[in-house]
Amino acid sequence: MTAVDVISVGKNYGTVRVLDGVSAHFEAGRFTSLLGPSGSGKTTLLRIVAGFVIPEEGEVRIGGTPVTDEPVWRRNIGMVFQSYALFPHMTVAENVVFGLNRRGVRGAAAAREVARALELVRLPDFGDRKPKQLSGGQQQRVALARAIVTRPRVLLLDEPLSALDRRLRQEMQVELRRIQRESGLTTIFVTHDQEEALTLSDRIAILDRGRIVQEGAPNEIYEKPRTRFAAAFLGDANFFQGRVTAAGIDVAGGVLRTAEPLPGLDTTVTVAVRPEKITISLVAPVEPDQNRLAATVREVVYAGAASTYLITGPGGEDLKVFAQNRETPSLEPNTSVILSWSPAHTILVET
Amino acid sequence: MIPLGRIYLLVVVAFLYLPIAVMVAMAFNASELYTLPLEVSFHWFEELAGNERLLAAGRNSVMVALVTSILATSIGTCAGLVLSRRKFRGRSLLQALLLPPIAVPWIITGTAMLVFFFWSGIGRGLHSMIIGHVALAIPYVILVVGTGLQTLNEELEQAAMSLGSKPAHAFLTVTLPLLAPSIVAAALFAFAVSFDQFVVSYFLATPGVTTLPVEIYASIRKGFTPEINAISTILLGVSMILILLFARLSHMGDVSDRR
Repeated sequence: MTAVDVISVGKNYGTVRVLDGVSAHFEAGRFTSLLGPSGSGKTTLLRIVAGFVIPEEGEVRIGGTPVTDEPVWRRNIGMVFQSYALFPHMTVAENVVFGLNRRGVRGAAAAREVARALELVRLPDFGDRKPKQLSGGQQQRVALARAIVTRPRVLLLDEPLSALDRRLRQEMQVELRRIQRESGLTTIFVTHDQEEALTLSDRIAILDRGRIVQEGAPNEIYEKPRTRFAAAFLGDANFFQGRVTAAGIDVAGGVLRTAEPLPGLDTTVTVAVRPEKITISLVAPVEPDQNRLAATVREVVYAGAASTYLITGPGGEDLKVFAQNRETPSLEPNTSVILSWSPAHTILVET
Repeated sequence: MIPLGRIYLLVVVAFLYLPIAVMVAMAFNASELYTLPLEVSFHWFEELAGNERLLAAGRNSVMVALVTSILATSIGTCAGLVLSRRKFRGRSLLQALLLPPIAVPWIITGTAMLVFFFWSGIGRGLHSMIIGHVALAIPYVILVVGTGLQTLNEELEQAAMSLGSKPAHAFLTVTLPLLAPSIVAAALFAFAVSFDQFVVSYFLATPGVTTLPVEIYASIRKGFTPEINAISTILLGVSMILILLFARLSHMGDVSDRR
């Protein structure tokens, strides 16, 4: 099992700085997602690890060995492309055996490996088909089998699920996770889909404008986002801005307290609160130590098990609250309500 | 209901094929004076077999077209690859300059070539004819191969490299087989451009050494015989087969349609 390190990597395309001194450690055997909007540099970072893009600054190490000057074909990687890039003039088996042949594995030994890889992706009887005869999900599996059959040191996935429809995508997420666990490959997965990143990953690195803004386990980043961007990109978040006073953060309509220590008096800070952490009530709840704000319901989006409440805050903020439909009273638009949540769920974020 | 659309298309097709059909019919007519009813005979084809001048011109035509096709396809395919793969300064200008020769009237190209070959001392003859035909065919080859390359997903070669192929191996095992239909189509087209070429060939031919279209023209000026119908029918057949093969292959060159 091989760790991958990216050290102070910088890349420009013309005058655009695509990656701005990015460092990241991809743990051996773990599934790490690079999550970010388009233009954040996530695909460029993946292509730098693969060797398709040569960085102007910095170093890439695979298993501790610098590979920055090694060409793609000597890096021993496995890659699944967004378009799958299956060779259309070859059968499924010929596609999968391609990388084995390049490594000098031929004949019965190669056939055995191919059969095992196709078994792993649950397409054991598809060796003789041409890629065009397969569905999108099946092509996806073949691309995966082709990438892992050579036992590469690292598996690189470039938005491999984005071309599939929603149902198939969810099915493939489960499959992808299973195959990654069974193969034990260090995996780097590029995606712009936050839900996909949350459900699949051991670790997530969030990229914004050529920098990694936060890196950690999915729940870590979700519960303790460090920046406003990370909070908004991974999940939904409500933001409040205010001045630090002795009592807490002075925001429109009240004072908010946090579990973490606040910076010096009079600094302006922003806090994030996840929509499901907030309780809506008609009368002020009795628990002490809760943050409380009076607000007005703007719209209720009913979805069976849960509802989303769109709420106008005391300072005119657009707020969002998720609530399970257990005992929550049914609320009409324009109802005045009290929002309350724990100081522990009031997270200071950088803007 | 009257199928107006179909009737219209039939009229258009008739317009295209009527003169050709008459010529072909007369090639098989025993009468020299085009009398009807048609009496089917291979008389004119037999006459043709004894006409050394036309046969020699036919051999020249095939030879020139073959050499032209091989040279133009090799040069044009490489140019197409460079244009689609390499990014360099002045690329779009060079690319734009490749197409106008298609639009230049052949009479102008022919005159220019004649002047140039005299001036440079290359002179006239089959060799300069080949050079001229290659120049005429290259833009078409670049167009056909370039279109084939555009439909090729560039991630395919990258996939091969990620699996351990050096660029040359990736090109030979992935790109070339997928591009082959386009290259063959381009070669057929280049052959047809040369084989059907009259104007440039006429300018560059030397007395006694000509190609089929030039020889047919010369024979008509001397006095028309139905032999000309016969040889023209053969020429027509070859050209139509070439263009039909081209149409089929250049369609197949579209990878997304391949099975």
